[in-house]
Amino acid sequence: MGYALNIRKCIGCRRCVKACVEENNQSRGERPGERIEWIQVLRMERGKFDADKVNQGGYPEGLGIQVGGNSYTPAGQVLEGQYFYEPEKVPEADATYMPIACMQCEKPPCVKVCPVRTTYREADGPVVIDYNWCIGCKMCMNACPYWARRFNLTTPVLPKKDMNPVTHYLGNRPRMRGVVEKCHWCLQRTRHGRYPACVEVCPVGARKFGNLLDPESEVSMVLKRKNVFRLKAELNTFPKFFYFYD
Amino acid sequence: MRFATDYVRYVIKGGPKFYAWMGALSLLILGMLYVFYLQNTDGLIVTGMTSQIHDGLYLANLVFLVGVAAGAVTIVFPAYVYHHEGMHKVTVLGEMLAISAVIMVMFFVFAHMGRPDRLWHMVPPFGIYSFSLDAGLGRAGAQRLPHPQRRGRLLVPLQPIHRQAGEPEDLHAAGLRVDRVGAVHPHRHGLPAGHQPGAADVVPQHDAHPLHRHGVCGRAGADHHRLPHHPQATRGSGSRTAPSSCWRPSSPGAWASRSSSPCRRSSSSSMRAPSTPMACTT
Repeated sequence: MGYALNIRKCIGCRRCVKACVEENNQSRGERPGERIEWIQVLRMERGKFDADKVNQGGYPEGLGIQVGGNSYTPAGQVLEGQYFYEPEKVPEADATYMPIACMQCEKPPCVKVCPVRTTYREADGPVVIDYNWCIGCKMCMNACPYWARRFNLTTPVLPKKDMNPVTHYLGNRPRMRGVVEKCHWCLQRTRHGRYPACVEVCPVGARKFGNLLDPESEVSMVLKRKNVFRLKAELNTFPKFFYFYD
Repeated sequence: MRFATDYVRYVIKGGPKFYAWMGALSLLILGMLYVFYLQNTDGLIVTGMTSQIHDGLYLANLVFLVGVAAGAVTIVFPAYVYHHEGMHKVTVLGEMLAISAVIMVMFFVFAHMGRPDRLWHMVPPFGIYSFSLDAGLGRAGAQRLPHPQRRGRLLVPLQPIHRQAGEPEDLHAAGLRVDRVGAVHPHRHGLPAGHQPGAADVVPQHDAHPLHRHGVCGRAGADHHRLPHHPQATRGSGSRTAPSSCWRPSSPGAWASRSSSPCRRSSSSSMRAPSTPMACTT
C-alpha cells in the first residue's frame, strides 16, 4: 500500500481529521490528554517575495560580514499554537497546510525500539500495533520522527452511539487505557478494497491511496509523473507516504 | 543466616531521629503508592501529560538518577587503581548510592508505563523471547503463522474475535454441508482478519483487472469476507457494476513474486484451496 498527498491542493479544512476520528474510534474528550487525533494538519506561514528588500541585508553593519538582500520571508514555518488552528474560512490567504500522519515507514524506528515487539510491519505495508500486547512504555513515541503516535492516557472517551462497529484487530477496534495507537491506513477498509476514510472525505482530492506494486495504481502514477518528496528522507526510514505537487 | 540477622539488626537499629526520619519517608512512600493507584485507575492523565508531551517528571528523574549512579560508580576507579586514601572512605557509600539510584530508576520506568500490569510481556521466559514463541518472529510473527504451526507457540492464545454467525462450524452444527472449499471463513481459527494467511494480506485494487468491470472477480467464494450462503453479487451477465469488495491484482507476476502472495501461502497450508488461477498463473 502507498499513500500520496498533494500539498498544493490541501485547503486545511481538517475534514480528514474528523473523518479519521469517527472511522477509527478515537477518543473524543475535552481534556488535552483525552482528545486523540491521528492526523495533524500543520498550518504554515506562506513566504513572500518583497522587491523592496532586495538590497537590504538583514545583518547589522560593522561586523565584517557582507550579506546580500534577502527578498524572501521564510516560508514553511510552523508557529506556536498552529497545530490546532480554528480558522473561520479555509484556505487562509497567508497560510499553507501540511497534513501529517503515520508515514508507514519501510524501516520504522518504532518497530526497532519496541521492547515487546508488539508493533510490526505487516506484509502489505502498514505498521500496526497489537493493542493487547502493548505495555505502554512509549518508547515508540520517542523513536518516531514524525509525531505519528498517540497514547491513551486514560480510558478512551467513546460514546456507544458514536462507535464504528466495523473494526479490525490491528486497526480501529476500541483501544484500552495505557496503550499506544496510530494511523494504520484504515485496515478495516483497505483490506476489503475500500479507500481510507481520509481519502474518501477529502473534498479537493488531495489524498491518493493505492498499491505501490501495481504500476497502474493512482499512487504509482503519481510517483511516475509528479514531483514527489518524503518527509525527513535523510533519516532513512523510507516512508510510504509521499507528498507531491503539481 | 547469621549474616541475614546481623544485617537486619544493623538496618533497623537507630535512635529516635533515625526512626522519625524513616517514618517521614514511609509516609511519603504511602502517598506515592496512593498516587500510583490513582494513576492506574484513572490513567496517566493525572500526571498532566499528553500525547505530545509524554515524558514527564518520571523520565527526567530517570536521567538524573542514572547520572547519579554513574557518578557514584566512578569513585571506585581512583580508590582501587590509584589507591586514593580519601576515596577509599566513600567508596562503599558511593556503591550503595549507585545501587539505590538504579533501583529508583527502575521504579520510575515502571511508574511511567501505561500498562504496568503487562510488565511480564517483557520478561523473557514468559513474554518476549519465550521458548514457545518462534525465535526471531516474536508474537507478531507467531500470529502470522498458519494454524497448525501456530498452536503451541503462543502461551496466551488469541481469543476468537470477529466470530460471526454463519461460519462453517455453525453450518456443520446445523447439519448443513459446506461444499465450497473456497468459502472457508477467514475468522474460523480465531485469528484476526489481518493475520489470516493468504486471505487478508493482499492489497486491495480499485482499478485492478480488466475483467473487473464485467463483474468477474476470480473463483466463486474468493471474496472471503462474504458469508458462505451470501448471494454472489456478480451473478448474471447483465451485471455491469462490480461489488466494492471485488478486486483482483492487475499484474499477476507482481503478486506471485511477493512473499505473502496468496498462491504461496495456500500451497504451504493445506487448509485453503488453491487461489484463483487468474492470480496464480506463474
